[in-house]
This record gives sequence, structure tokens and C-alpha cells, in this order.
Amino acid sequence: MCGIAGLVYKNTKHFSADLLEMLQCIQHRGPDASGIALFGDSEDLVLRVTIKAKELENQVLSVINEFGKVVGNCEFYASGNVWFADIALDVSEDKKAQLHARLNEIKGVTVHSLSRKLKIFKENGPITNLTNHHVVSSGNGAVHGIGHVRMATESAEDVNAAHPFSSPFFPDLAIVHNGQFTNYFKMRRFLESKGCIFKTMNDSEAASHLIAYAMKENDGDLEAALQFALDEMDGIFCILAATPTQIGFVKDKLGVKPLLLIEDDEKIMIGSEQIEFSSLAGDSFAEEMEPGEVRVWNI
Amino acid sequence: MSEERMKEPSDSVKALWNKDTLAEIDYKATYGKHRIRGCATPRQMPNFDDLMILPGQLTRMPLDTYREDCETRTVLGKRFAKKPLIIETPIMIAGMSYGALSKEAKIALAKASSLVGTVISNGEGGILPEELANSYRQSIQVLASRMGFTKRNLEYADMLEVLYGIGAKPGLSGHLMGSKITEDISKMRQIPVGIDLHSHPRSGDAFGADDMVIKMEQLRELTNWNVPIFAKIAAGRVREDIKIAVKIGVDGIILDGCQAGTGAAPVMAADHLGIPLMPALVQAVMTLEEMGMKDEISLIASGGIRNGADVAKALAIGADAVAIGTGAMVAMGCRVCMKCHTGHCAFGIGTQHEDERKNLDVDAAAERVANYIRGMTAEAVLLAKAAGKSKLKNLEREDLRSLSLETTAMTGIPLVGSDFVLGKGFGFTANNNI
Amino acid sequence: MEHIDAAIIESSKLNLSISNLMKQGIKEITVKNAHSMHNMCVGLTGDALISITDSTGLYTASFLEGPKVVIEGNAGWYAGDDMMDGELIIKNNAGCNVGAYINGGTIVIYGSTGSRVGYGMKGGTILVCGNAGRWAAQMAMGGSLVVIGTVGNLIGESMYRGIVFTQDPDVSAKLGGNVFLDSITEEEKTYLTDLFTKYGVDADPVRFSAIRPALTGRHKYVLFKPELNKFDKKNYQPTKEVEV
Repeated sequence: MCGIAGLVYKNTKHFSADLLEMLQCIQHRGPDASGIALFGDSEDLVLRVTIKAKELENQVLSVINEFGKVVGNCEFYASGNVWFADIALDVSEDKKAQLHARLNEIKGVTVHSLSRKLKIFKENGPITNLTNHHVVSSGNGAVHGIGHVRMATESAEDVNAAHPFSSPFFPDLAIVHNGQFTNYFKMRRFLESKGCIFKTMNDSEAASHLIAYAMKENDGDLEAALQFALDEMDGIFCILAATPTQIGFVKDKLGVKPLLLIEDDEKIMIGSEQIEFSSLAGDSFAEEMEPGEVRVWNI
Repeated sequence: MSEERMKEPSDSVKALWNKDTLAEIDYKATYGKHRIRGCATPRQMPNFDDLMILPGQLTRMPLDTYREDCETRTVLGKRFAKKPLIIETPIMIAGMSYGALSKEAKIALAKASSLVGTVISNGEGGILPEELANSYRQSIQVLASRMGFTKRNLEYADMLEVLYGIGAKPGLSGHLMGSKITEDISKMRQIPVGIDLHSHPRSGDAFGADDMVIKMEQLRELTNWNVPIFAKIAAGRVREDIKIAVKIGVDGIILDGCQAGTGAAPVMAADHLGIPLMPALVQAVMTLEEMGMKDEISLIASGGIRNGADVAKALAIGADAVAIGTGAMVAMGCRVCMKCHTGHCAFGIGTQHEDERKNLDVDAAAERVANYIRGMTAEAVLLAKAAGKSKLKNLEREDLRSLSLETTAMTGIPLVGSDFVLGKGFGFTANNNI
Repeated sequence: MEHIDAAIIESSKLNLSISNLMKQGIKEITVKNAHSMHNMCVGLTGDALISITDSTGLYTASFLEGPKVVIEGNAGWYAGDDMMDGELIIKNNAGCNVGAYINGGTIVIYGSTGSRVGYGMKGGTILVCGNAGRWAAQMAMGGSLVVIGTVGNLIGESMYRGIVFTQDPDVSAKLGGNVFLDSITEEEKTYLTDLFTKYGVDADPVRFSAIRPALTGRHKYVLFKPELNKFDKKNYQPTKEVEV
């Protein structure tokens, strides 16, 4: 099942709450996990990461020290069966992708996001788990983001397998996915041959690496990357993708998974069900997107 | 019980000393030499029937059998060639020579390739002008004998196959019976009429892979880097052969399993040389992946491909296309009597005798081969869509499971109802609890 | 007359440069500093004289179709293979398998050559002024091979068509399978006279014999070795005493 939400809302003072409210409306589509990606601004590079054992903390810190240093506090807090951390780093922008990859190389460590503009929050269970266990905030002035509620299909219920996903190929990109790929293993083999390290057996992770890889190769053209994904991925899917300056979607050619849109001067709302739009748009009718459609907005 | 009422043992099974064994011994006792026979080995060998394809149900959505599309277009040879070969179905027509086959059969096959949009290979011994005129795309074989091969062939080939061996008789020198060499064939192959041909075992212009690297550069120059160049290898020492072929600089490999057919081969060669296609294909894919070359090198599988299930499973394992030989002949009317080596064929397919050739209606035969390819493609599409694929090339090895321990052992594909493999395993599902 | 310095070009660009010069109508091209480069003059078509001042590597003038290529030094293996037409003149020695699968044109080696010269040759003429190695003209299917010096063992092995001309006095002991030694005809004498005159060879056609393929229904070689039928009890020497 799964449900997705995307929001661009210029005049809000509480963006993350608005996005979470959209997701709350479709909680029934995915009780197993939830997550959002928020885009804001921060001077430091912010790392959101999980580790499977407290001992891995030292390994994480020693890798960070190869690239720069921690700014302020570095506290790992437990939630579920892993430890989370939200750490500010003094690391230069051009080393970001490498650091992301190096951290993922450590067994038991999974980066959720590593960026100055993107923060990914995800947690198992209902949305209340997410808001209770984590301080969900994007820093200054977020105006766009994407979110997801998950019903697990093929892979295990590990919080790292929840959406949104990010990838070392293009760390500022976040994606959420509703659907299931039928050529996951082919995609994975291709991406692994390009040096990608997979942290889960979740097919959505493959989509994030594939689109990020295309973004890396085409210098950040999200529309071209989503078009590439449409051709390469097989199965049923709706994917929402966002970077600090763009937000977009791709819908599979069979048109099975739902993708609805409301767009006006104030806001752009993208979602899986009509009910999702009621929080901000009342009874307005959300339009259904075409099969095989790719659309990208610049922020 | 009295002796009269006792049942006599019949001792009829005779696993070792059966009728065929006796016949072979009689042949050798009479003639003092090995027997030669047409077609392919009649022996039971592991084949794709041992593999099942997993359909989508609640997990993985299948596609509508009738209304939703599945792409069958196939691109071959894109490693170096500037003009990779694009065909509309992953089924091509394998090289069968004019000499082994009648002119009418070759023309019918060429016409069939145009009816469905695929490539046909000329086989040994030059190119029949009528085949070239009627084919959609033409592959030209470059053999050790070079009979009928000149610079002209390089000018119109859409694909080249440098032959190192064929599955039916790998490692043997070529053999064409004198009785099949007519005036026509003699002129085309630049050889005398009526003499049994025992042709060159290895190419006189490249002794070894080191020379072949330079020869390959030459062929590229001569074809302006436009034409995909394949190496055709009989399945034997697959790993080592593939490694060398890749180093030589080919765009792709045609892998011919031991179940492949031919006009005439020594029985012992057909029955005891080489390995079947299914395990060979797995080995080839594994080797290419170890070398990091799987995405660059096109792989064509041949040798006993019969139906769309064989096609789908070969593609799932990792082939990009398949080639049919015997199957195409059967579609034209061949009944696999295995007498091709006599030079006589009641259906006018494997013969040069004028009166027999009259039995083959070229246009009807072309339509039958085209229908066969259409039907096989539809079968492969059916299976792919049931597994949730909108493109034939998206079939994966994880879509397969094996029905027998032997096949699991030789392919690394998990046993049905489990993730069990013997040894390394082929794909993510092996030993992975998926 | 144009000059090309092969030291500063790759072989695939070299052939393109020569080809372009020929297209402009240049009739004489000299290539220096070949330094045993491979694939020189491959596939060249047209009409020109191309001189290579030193020695070449493998596959010189493969698939040549028209021009005259002269190599002042030595030529590597497989020179002139698959040649269609034109002339390949090698002033010094040549490697093995020269002229394999040649369809037409003429190859002249003023020095000696190694084994398998004219392997599978289908037409054209190969003239070896020095000695030829073993298996010369093996499995030939046409054309003619002329050797002025000595020939190696198994000459003409399994030829299907074509002729070998030789004046080697010991040739009968060196014949390959399925060929026989024959005297040459008047026409063949004239052919040799013209050939020798054209290429400045000092040899008398009268002293030459022809090796021709045995054209029966099936070649008489031993298809099934070992022969297993030559054991003679009388000559059998047991290795140890046998108690009776």
C-alpha cells in the first residue's frame, strides 16, 4: 500500500506540521513506518544517522574526523532497536558525498540524510512515534518537503527501510515511493557495479540510488533523472522526489498507483488520496495525474 | 511351483547393451571408423524445463495479458559498434549454411527474418545473394576456412560472427560431404565440386588470442567501427573462453550449447563434447559480472531453444537474445529424422537434390517460420507479464526457481519452495531467505 | 610524392591518412619510421604506390584491394592476408602465414618466408624468391604459389585447388597429403617467364615442376589415426621372457 505526500507551501509558519497533517489523513495506508524530508537552510552540514549498536558511535565519529569535525553536541538517543543521532558537522560541501558513502560502508550504520538543506526524519510505527521520539524541525524557513507512510511489502521492518531515502550519489535528493518494482535485482546489480552500497533489501532504496545516480551524471536535472527512472524501472510506482530547488514526481506507465494534485497560487499539494488534501484545501477536487507522466517544479 | 509354470526373467532393460549400443558397435566393426550423423544429440540433457518462473500475485503485480504492453525490441552489440543491431524480437535465426540447407530453405528463412524484424546468419561458406536480398538484417560468419568469405562481406554485414566452434561439434574441423557440393555451392565457396571437405580447424590469420586482438582492430577499421562483432563459442570451458573473448575486444558472445544441431557431425562429438546451454549460460553471466562487463557485452544463447519459455528463462538468466536453428527447420517441416548427413531430405530442407527441393514451398515455409517466431515471442511476453515485467529484458534470475537438485547445483538457482542452493548461488535469492 | 612519418600517428589513423592522400589524387606515398607497426595499409583501395621504408609488424596490407605496397625491410606475420587485388612487394624476409586466404593480386617476397605461406589461398599469386617454410599452400583453394628456393615439409598439404611451382630437387620427399608432383605445361612455362621478368627474378621456368591437388572423390589421408593395422607377429620383440 503506502501513502505519499508532497507539499510546497510558501506562506506557512509551521510547514512540518502541515506536511504531517497531510500524512495523518492517510495513516491507514501505512501503519508500519512514517517519514518526512524537510528542506530548510543551515550553515553546518547536518547528519541524521542510525547505528545498530552503541559501540558503533566511535567508528562514526572517527570517520567524521577524517573529513572535518563535529560542531556542538553529539548525542545518540535510542528509539526502537537502534540509536539515532542528529549531528551538526564542520565539513566542506565538496566532501559531502564521499562522507555519506564512507559512513554507509560501516556495517550497522545507515545515513538518513547528510546535507545543509535537507533533513530526513523517519521512524517505525504510526506518525505519533515519529513526532514523539524525534524533534522534527527543518531549521529556518522550510517551504517544501515530501512525506511517506509505509506498509511493508517484501523487505523486513527495519527503520532504515522506511522512506524517505537519500543516496551518496546526490546527497541533497530525497525520494518517497508508493508501489513495487519488478526489476529490483537488475537495478541493484547495475548500481552496485557503480560502487553503490545498499543498506536494505527495500526496492525503494534502489530507486533513490538510481535517480540520484542520474542526477549525478546530468548535473542535477531532476526532470531528466525522473524520465530516466521511468524508462529503467519496471513495476508499479509513484515517486515523489525533491531537492533544495526542485520538487517533482514520476508516475508509472500502467497508471495503477494513485497520484493526485492540487495547485494554486499559494501552494502545491501532491498526494495519494483525496482525503489528504482536506487539511489545507478543504473540499477542492484533486486532479489525477496521467500514466507515464513526469513533472517538476522549481522552488 | 513346477518348472513349466515359472515366469522367465525377460532381462529386457539392458541399460548398457541396448539396441543403439549394438548398432554402433556393428557400424564400427563393419567400417572401422566413427559414425557420422546429422542434426543434434538425441541424448537427454538438463534443459530449461527444469526451471519455473515465479508469477506476481499479491506481491508484484502482473500485467494484463491482453491489454498492457511488453517491449520486445532488443539492442545488440553496443560495446564498441557505432551502429548496434536493433531487432524487434530477441529471437534470431542461427547460422545454417547454404550447403547444409537447400537454397529454398535459406531463402525462406531470410524472408521470415523480414516478416518479423530479426537478424539471420548466413552460416559457413559465403552468402547466397537471395538470402542477402531477402533478409531484414544480415549476420556474416567469419570461419577458419574462409570459404566464400571476402572483403565484400564486410561491406554489407549488419553483424559479424567470428567462429571459434559450434555446440554440435566443438573443437572439430568442419565437414561437408562431397555429395552436397553442387556447382552452385562450389562457386560460392570457391571450392571444387564433389570432394569431401575437411576444412581448417583454426583460422590461418590469427593463431591465438594475442594475434586476435590485432586482427580485431583490423576488422574494426575495415568496418569503420560500425558493425557489432561477436565471437561464437561452443559451450565448454566457458569461463576461460569468455574472459579471452572479452579481452580480444568483441561486442558480444554467441554461446552455443551442446544440444545444438548441425548438418553432419561425428556421433561421439555430438553426444560427448561440450556442455548444455543452461549451465553454460549461468557460467557466462557469472564470468561477465566478475569482470564487470555484463552491461557492455551482449550475450546470445543458442542450442536447443524450442519455445517462449526457453526464451524467457534464457533472458532471465542473463542472455540478451537467443538464436534458433533446429526449431526454425522444424517450423518449415523438418521432422528431425536425423538423416541430414545423407544429403537427402524429404522436405527439401537439408538437401541439394533438385527433386527433393521441389517439396519446399518457399513462401509458405517463410510464413511458418515467421509464425513460429511470433508465437514464441508471444509466449515469452506472456510469461514476462505474469511476472510483472513491461519489458522482456527486465526478466531477472530471481524470477526463477529450480525443480531439481541437479539444476540447482549447476545453475545456483534456488530449489522451488526454498532459498536452498549448493555452493555460491546465482542471484540475491540464493540462501537469503527471500 | 607525399611523406608520412609513422612515428607520430597510430595505425588506424595512418591508414586513413594514406587513404585521404589517395583520394586527393596523390599517386606516390612514402611512409617512414614504421618500426614494426601492425595493421599498416589494411583495406586500402584505389591506385597508388605506397612505400614503407623500414620493417612492418603483423597484418601488413590485409584486405588490400588495388594499390601497390612496397616494404623495404621485413614484413611481419600474416602480411597480405585476405588480399583482394593489387601488389605487395616485400624486399627482405617475411614472417609466417603470409598471404593466408588471399583472393587475388600478387605478393612477392624477395627474401625467405616462414611456414604456412598461402594458407587457404583462394586466388592470386604468391612468389617467394628465397625459401618457404613447411606447410606452404596448406589447404589452398586456388591461385598459385611459386617458390624459387627450397620448400619446407608437407608442401601443399590437402590442397583442394591451385598450383605450387617449385624447383626444389628434394621436393618429392616433402610433399603433403593428397597432392602429386607433375611436369608443367607450356602455358604454365609462359606464365612463369612473364612473372619472373616482371619481378626481375633470375630463374629458368624449364627447371620447375608443379604440385597439383589429387582430385578424387575423397582425399586419401588417414582419417582415423592411429592406424592399428601394421603389427607383425614375426617382428614382435617381447620385453621379457614368457614362460610357456
